Amino acid sequence: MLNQKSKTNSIGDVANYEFSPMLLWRHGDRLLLEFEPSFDGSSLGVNWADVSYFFGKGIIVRAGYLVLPFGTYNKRLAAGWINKLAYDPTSITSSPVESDWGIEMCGGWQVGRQKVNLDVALSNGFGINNDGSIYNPGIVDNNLAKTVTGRFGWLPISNSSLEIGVSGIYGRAGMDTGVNRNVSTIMGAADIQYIYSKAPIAINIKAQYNVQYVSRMFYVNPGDSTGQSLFTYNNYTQGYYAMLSLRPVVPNKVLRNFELAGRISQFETPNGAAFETHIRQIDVALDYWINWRTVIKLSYENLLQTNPANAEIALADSKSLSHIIVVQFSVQF
Amino acid sequence: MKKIITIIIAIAGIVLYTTVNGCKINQEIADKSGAQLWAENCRRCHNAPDPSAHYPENWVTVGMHMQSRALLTDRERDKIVQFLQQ
Repeated sequence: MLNQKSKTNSIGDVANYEFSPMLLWRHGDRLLLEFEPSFDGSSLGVNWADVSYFFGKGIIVRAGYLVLPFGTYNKRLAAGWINKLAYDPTSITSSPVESDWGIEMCGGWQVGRQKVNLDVALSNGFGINNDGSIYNPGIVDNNLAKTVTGRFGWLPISNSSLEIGVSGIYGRAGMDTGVNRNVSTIMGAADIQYIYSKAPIAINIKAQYNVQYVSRMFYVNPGDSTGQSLFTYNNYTQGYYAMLSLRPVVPNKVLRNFELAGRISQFETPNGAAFETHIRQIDVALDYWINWRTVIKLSYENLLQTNPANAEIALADSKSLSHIIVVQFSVQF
Repeated sequence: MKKIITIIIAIAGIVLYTTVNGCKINQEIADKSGAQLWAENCRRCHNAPDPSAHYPENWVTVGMHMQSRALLTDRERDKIVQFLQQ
């Protein structure tokens, strides 16, 4: 049972839009500049801005503001015309892992009938807030330490239909001075994607599981107005998403443009933290592909967020359940 | 911890280098056409693009961007771009 119920949605709102032009500039066959600003009606941001050099033999070196190679969602699947649901999974949007300033080396290689790929980045990394949550400091780093991010991908089937990946991040998150200077963060992820297409159906499966651990430290108790008492907890965060979509592979020109997609995602911040939150997100969408890069999505989302009570730091519990229906139009050009 | 990570990265690099250089590409894989590679690889993330979506010269740029995202091999990128340019 929910403690409170409130209806805040209404039909007829054209609530959100995002304009993210992807700008590519190539100099010869080896140098590529990539820049993607993003404007959502209220703020202007940058998704990535980097320069890549193609060494040959599959090796690419990149520098700038780059998408960290942690899992596959942020780097490959986040664009509105690729994502089959109207929203991104909460396990991705709630994570501090996104783009960062640094350098990266990556590549993909054929190994017999299989393929492997490797992606390693060295970047500014993460900082830690007073409550133990992790944030991304951006271009002005919070310490001198750099963070290593890497992903190894394996495509065991010769038609590239299956990819399994493991990722990791390690870096010091604490400031260079102070009692928390040695606090570090370790993250891991496992991802899988599988596609199958044979009349009369095409199946698309994508999933990613993330864990995040911050080494032990003491936090100021937000329930103590004097700011003198400290407390600690096991700073362990986890989240996942799993998506399945089905699309008819039939001669009918209208029917084959429909796609039905469903996804579940969960995000759990540490038990006992002041920011403890449990989010469960279920999405279902019926998509219609106007062409290969233009889609209309009729999407429903069920979002349950729970913040448990914590007597030690004087936090009351709260719950919210949202039902969201969205019609979304996405186009890439 | 830093030493462990350095050792793991070094071992992974050695294994990868040895594997890549030790395995010859299967003839069936080497004979795949650009059209086949286009169908197999693009749909890993999104619908396979229409060749008329860009001017032929621009496909080279798009191919480089896609290689860096999906970590295609050089051979795959070149064959897919050649197919899309036709």
